[in-house]
Amino acid sequence: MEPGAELRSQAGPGPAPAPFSEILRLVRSGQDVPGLHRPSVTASLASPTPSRLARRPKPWERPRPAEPPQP
Amino acid sequence: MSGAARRSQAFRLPGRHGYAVEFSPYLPGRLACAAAQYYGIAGCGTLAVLEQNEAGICLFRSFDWNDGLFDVTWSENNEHVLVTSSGDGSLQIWDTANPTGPLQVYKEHTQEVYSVDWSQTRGEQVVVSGSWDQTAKLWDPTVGRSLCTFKGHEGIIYSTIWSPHIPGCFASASGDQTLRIWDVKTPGVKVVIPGHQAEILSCDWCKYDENLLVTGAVDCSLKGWDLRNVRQPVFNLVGHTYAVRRVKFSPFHATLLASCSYDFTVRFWDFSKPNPLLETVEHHTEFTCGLDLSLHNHGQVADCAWDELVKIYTPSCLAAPV
Repeated sequence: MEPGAELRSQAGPGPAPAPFSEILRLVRSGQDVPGLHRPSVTASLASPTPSRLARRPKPWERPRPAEPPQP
Repeated sequence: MSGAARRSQAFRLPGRHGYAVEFSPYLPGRLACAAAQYYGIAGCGTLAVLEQNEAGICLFRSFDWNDGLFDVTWSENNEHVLVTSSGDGSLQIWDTANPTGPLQVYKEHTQEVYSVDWSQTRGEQVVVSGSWDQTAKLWDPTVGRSLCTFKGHEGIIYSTIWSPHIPGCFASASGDQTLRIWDVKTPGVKVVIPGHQAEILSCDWCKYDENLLVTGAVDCSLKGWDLRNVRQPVFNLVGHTYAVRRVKFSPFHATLLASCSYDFTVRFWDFSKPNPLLETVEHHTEFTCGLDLSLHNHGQVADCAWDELVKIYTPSCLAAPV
């Protein structure tokens, strides 16, 4: 679990779905989580669709742009 | 300086908590979002490929995976291809033109893979992954076995990011409170920077100074690091009130950065200014985890949060001057 997760309970109004703390409680106590979706996806091993586009240069690979905008 | 940004568009992923967003390097307006059901602690993951234009954001295609997805990176040599990293320790290779599912699945990491990045330098086509198993791995995306495993971190790796300038060089950010610099030609670490007295959740490289990086940490700060002298930070940006979850340097300006946080906000900074905080965008109601800056549309930003929303917008501070 991420370190910031402990702060979740202080972090303001809960979202519409079940709150993080409730999901965590269910998972830790081994109970079923309602609406859980566990697909069984496997790799197709297909080849990628061939690329038709040339790589674009990154902005920093071009000559230096103008000065940053003044806030 | 506060509040909702102008020209903001939103897309909801019902029942999914967004962890990462990345703009396509090929197609302006194409955005990938890695998301998880139930905050990533139970259930599946979803990769959503979105299309944004003046009229709004629509779903181009979505793919499900068996576990939560925590990061996404686009290929730099094929506009259809992306890679995600998952809570089950695997990486997935996807083709946006192939709806049947992932092309490949690479399982080596023994814990959640929180970070995946495709190399940015012209001569290489490699991927680096970073995991809660405390290792980073180097991959040729066409090969199922990793090329190298990098050990050394003493805590969870949260972020692994390629240098945009130095071929074969990547940085990693960790729960062991260090930022480490690696060279793929040697398995041992090159530089260890004890950057914070807290877990470091994110890092990024300056696009215009190959020696400069930024870290974002649980201590709510962003710090800048010059690889030529790592004993102290070159800048320290404070303002966030909870952990900094992701940091990104601007693709267009040497001293501009963006950060998102568990304080629900996205902030924009110019570290060359005496008052570096340019703008705070407060348009989420949950942890804001994903953040990217468009390479095509100057000033355009995407973010995602645990409130099921992906937002694409241009903050005032990045809008082009009149």
